[in-house]
Amino acid sequence: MSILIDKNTRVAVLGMTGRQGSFHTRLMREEGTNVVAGVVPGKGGQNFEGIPVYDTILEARLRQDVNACVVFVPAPAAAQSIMNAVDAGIEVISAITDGIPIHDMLKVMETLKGTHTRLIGPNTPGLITPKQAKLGIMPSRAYKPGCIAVMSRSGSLSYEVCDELSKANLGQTTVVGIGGDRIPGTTFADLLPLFEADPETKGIVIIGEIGGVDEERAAAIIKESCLKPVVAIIAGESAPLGKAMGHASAIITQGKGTFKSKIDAFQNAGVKVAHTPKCLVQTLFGLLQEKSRESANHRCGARQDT
Amino acid sequence: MDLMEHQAKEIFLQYGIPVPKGMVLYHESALADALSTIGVDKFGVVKAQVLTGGRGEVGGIKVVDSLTQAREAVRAILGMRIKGLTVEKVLVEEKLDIKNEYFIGITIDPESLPALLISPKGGRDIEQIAKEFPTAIGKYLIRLKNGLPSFEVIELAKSLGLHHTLWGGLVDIAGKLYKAFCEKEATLIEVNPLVETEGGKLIAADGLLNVDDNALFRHSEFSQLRKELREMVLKDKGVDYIDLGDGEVGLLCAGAGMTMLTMDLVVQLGAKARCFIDMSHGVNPVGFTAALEVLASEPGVRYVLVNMFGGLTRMDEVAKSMLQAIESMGAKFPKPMVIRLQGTNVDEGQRIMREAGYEVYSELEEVMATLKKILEVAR
Repeated sequence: MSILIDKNTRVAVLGMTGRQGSFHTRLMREEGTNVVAGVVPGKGGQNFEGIPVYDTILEARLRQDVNACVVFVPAPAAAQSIMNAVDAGIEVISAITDGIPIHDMLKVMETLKGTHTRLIGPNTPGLITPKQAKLGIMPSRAYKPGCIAVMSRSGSLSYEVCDELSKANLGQTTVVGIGGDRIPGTTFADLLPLFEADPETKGIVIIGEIGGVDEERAAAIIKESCLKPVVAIIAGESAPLGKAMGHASAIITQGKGTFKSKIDAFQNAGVKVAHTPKCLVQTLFGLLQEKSRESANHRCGARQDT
Repeated sequence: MDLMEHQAKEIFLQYGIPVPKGMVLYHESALADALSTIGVDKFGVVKAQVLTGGRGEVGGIKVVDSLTQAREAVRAILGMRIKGLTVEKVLVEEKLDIKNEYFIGITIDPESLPALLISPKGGRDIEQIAKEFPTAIGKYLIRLKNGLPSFEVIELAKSLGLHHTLWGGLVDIAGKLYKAFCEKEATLIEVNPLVETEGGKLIAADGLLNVDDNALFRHSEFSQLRKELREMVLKDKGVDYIDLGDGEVGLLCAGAGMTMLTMDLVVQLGAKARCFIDMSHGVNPVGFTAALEVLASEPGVRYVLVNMFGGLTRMDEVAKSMLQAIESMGAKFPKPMVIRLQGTNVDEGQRIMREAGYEVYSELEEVMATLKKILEVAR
């Protein structure tokens, strides 16, 4: 099991014939992704390495039964591409594009309201269910199938953490990059219930950073309704106030989004917070062992009762 | 991109938001001109024009009563250092008869909607208002479809206990701010304080405007401003550079999250990062030359830490670009540099660096341990 995407997901690549689109289409297929269509306006009717290319996402959906797409369209046109995919009824959109104007994203968010589409990103490495489907650009060698869910605002840091997890033999169910922009289509809070409900996911990793209130909201949900062990790491402890740290969203303003407020929220929700990727993996390992001992004890107890 | 106060005020004027009469000076010799523009009797305030907050506390804003005082103020403020930045220009303005000071601004809320904020406690920054008078900030979330209806502004003003004689003026200014916010593609537009004069007029005594970097490609009106900013010039070469003010370690990383974590790890070693460079978009000789030149020339940077885990970024390209850049700068990089490369095409990248005589690490722990040793020896 996994969330959002698996080997049956029928994927279209928006901007397939561009430099990034073509390079990563190949890598996504190597991971096992079922890429069934490309969308490049003006190139409809052509094919890219055996994959049919269409002018519009609607056409791709109608002809190839596409239910997910990856967006590599350059920033000035990306928002329009995303809105077209929403209108075409695509269920999962992974928007890799970096640098989409924020006022364009305001329009995208308005379009998304009331639809069934889940937008991941933008400005994200995408999402991956290892060896089944990769809708993004992450380095495959850092990932392997397993029972850990990972969600991250940062791309680079998620590679680092997943690499450590994989080395410790903790593979992943699904890894989702929510992206570093001020307006993410999907938040940690949106993903938590999906991972909590996924029977294969045994533990959850959150890779957060300063700025915004996403970690705080996630903490509230964990406290309320999450039974699985959750560990977190937060980047930006030493960031100065009022400066955006590379990600537009990583900025402390109006006293909100500080490192401390996030740590406090997590600790209050029983989430262990680690300072380095290695520590995070060790902490998670400990929690999983504890959990399995607990359930073993539980089973013994049940036997004694009968 | 942040605009300076006088630049924000020029935009306010374009949208019909009243601002004090004023003039920008680069040298005290232009003071006489400013005086005649503003009017001798209304003179004045002298304000440092610099892209950072808190200039008032360090003497960057002075109220003056005479030409002599004005000259002294201009002399004192020009060239002053505020949070690591040198003041190169001042704004000289008329003095206002202040009856009340308010806050009004529009930003992007975590709800992914523009939010209008109003407070009767203007004149201090919004963080301070939030802390001292948490109930004195009113917020209205703007739906793009509906825009900013005047009755919503009135409801907000009313809920904050603002007198009804102000409502019309606030509706007018909120509407103009929202128009500017949308048309200039701002992420933040703020008037603080919005001064109510003894005569009952509302005037924007100070202003903040941040326009979305990602939207600048369709705003040629800002292209000149852009060229004046070092961070923007570097950004055009794919180098995301952030000046952190103080510290001794220059960071050269790929990916914002990785750079932030590296910055935190440096602090855990008892040191501080002087600057933050994310190379994700600049892995080529031009980008690396620009980045390494900054690191070489910035006197605060005494050590350089390179830490990359590439996904999209390929390590062989990093190695080649970096070596080419170093060569173009003259054979050897002038400061101690520790390097860790990991991720896509790492084997090839490490080989290239080693052949050129550089030590390269694979693990984060290793490179941090080496940096620690270097820092300890230096101390």
